[in-house]
Amino acid sequence: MRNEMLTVAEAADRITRGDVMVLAGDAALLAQLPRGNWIGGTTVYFVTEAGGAVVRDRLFCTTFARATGASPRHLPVADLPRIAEGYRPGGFTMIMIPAFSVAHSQFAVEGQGYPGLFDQPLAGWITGVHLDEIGTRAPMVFDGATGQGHDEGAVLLHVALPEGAHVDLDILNIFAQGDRRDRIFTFPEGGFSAHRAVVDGQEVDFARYITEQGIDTQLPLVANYAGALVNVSIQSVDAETGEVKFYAPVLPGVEYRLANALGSYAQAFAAGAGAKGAGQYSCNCILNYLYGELEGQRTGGFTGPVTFGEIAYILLNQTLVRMDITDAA
Amino acid sequence: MIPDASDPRWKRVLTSNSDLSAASLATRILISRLRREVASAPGTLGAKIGELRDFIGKNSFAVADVAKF
Repeated sequence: MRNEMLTVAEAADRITRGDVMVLAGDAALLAQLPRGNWIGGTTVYFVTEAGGAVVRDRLFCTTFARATGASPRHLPVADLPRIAEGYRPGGFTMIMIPAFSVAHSQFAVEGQGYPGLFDQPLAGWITGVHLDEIGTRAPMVFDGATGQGHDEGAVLLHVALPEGAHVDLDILNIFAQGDRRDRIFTFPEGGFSAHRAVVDGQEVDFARYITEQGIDTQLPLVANYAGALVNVSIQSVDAETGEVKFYAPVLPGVEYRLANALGSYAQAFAAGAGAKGAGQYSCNCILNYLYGELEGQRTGGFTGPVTFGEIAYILLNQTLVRMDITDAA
Repeated sequence: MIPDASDPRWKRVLTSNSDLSAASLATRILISRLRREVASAPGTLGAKIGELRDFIGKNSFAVADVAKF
């Protein structure tokens, strides 16, 4: 697997010669690419080998050199439950969904229950725009089969691999669950927002509780999924309406604990990554980029797009998703 | 070899809160969902065991996870 920042012309050459790729960059660049075995999504934020940066004149390209074939396609919202129908046996699938779209919220809430979703590694991200352009430009995804951009639905790249290839998809979450009893929450109802939460056996007005307790909303709520720590990030707190909005849905019946505070995000990623990262696919969250002040900072050896949500089977927040392809032991 | 559906490990892993940190990410996320569904509708246990066995059967990397159940 190879990660590179390329010009449009360089990326187009690779596509034309048949490389299997996922690309990230400005919509104006992605729209110039020829048809081929690729999908793309919009962002202008990246972690490069030189550190976090805003890049508008080049594309971040990951080439899957071991791929023996690939099928790009766009799925409209109504067909999202059919994601797994395109899985190539023994391969993996990359996915990109535009932020703020119906597909974004539908995948977040219902994706875990789609037929066969877990039948092979599924990795990707939620596409975005520059933060100054939220509300004026729509995040986009691009389907290499047609070269067309879409602001709704999902694009998928179903990748075939040779026999014996092994895909290792995992997450690097730099946050740990805190253990204060008054920072443990459950929610009577699921969704991207909540008015009520249960804390230490008592139901509370969640927005008022956050405000009165002075809770740091840059810290995610962390659930433990049988040993996998999964974050839900707080988007906004409206004390007047009592509504707390999230970047991913909370689920009823799941216990969420406010994360412990961090020192340096960059050091936390470097410590978590160890010597890993180079030669792997990865994407990291815009909230880590912002809150961790990652501009100019590295995240171990990982490079990749900075995104409005990460996908490793399910929608994730404030998390680095990583994927490696190796020969089976 | 994937254990038969009557093997007690299936019920145990779906009706406990055991930590599976050493299992693959897919296994952890899927079991977390299946546990929630079994907890809210215990009568679905058999169907959820079937879903988990199907997943293991389709993912060679997950076969080793059964030993951790």
